[in-house]
Amino acid sequence: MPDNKTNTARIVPTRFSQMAKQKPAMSRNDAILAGQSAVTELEPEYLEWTDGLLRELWAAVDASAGHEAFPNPNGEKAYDLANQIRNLGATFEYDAVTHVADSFCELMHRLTEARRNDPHAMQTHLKALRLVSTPDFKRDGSGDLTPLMDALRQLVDHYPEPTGSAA
Amino acid sequence: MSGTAGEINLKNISVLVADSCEPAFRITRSILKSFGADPVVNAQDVAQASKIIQRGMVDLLIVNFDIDGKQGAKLVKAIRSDRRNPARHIPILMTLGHTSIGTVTKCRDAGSNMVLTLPLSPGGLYDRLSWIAMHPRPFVDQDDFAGPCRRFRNTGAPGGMERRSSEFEFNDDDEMDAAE
Repeated sequence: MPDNKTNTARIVPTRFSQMAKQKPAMSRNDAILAGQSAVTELEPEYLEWTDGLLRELWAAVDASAGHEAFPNPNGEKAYDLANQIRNLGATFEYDAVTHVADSFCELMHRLTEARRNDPHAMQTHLKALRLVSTPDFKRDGSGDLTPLMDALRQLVDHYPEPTGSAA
Repeated sequence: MSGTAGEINLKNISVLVADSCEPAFRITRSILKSFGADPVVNAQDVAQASKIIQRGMVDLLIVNFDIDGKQGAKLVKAIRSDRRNPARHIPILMTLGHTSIGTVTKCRDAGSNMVLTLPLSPGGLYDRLSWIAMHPRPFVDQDDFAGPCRRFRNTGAPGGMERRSSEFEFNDDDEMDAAE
């Protein structure tokens, strides 16, 4: 019988919490080492994923440039793709990829709220993403990102930050 | 200082990762498996996730807020409010990418246990799972809200990657409705 009672609050034991407390536990340090090793194994695939996502993103941005205003389907697709790129980068220590892609997402979010289109700002972000997503940049050039991020921030700040809307 | 709430054993914990981004699932699965979790399965959309959850074999749900066009919170709410759902009380960790105002509140109000801002890191994931396991919260069952109690004190801070107040637990008592 379903419980129709309302206004109740009680601790409900779950299989997860019971099993997670069993011994022997895995220490945090061991977990981080094991997890990092698993991530490292995926790095060659990460480069392929990012390359594929960037190609799709470039196509979506090109298609979106033909629209006068946001929202439009290509702009939404571009936001989704940039968000995926954002969510992967720093896991593989491509922190600059996450920062630039996050700026791109924020730009798209603001353009949508402002119902504007700005192909130049989008393409500038894309060029930056291409630059920072290479292994060479990760190895040699990821020192001071401040000038790059400042330049991108100026493009984003051209549009007001939405105040009341949720994602 | 470590941000863990205690050491945990994830061996043979079954996990459903509801995420339409295949690479994100692959990363999550690899990390969870390195922790001992098994099986770790994927749902690409809300319908598939609901179907798997209804079978009652999932110990932990990790759901991306952006799944299926930002339907993650809706999925969590549907699970929590369905009194016939065998998985109604399972721990739910919501992952967030780029966010805007109100997103974390949406996750909390949907009934998530915790949120985790992407990109994923092994330490960040371990810490949040540790907190969920070691600090169970009362399950509130009201007409307008079902899920882990939203009114609680944060007794410490999980570490992990960047520390943002919105990243790990819902501790914004001031804006909360009474949940008990």
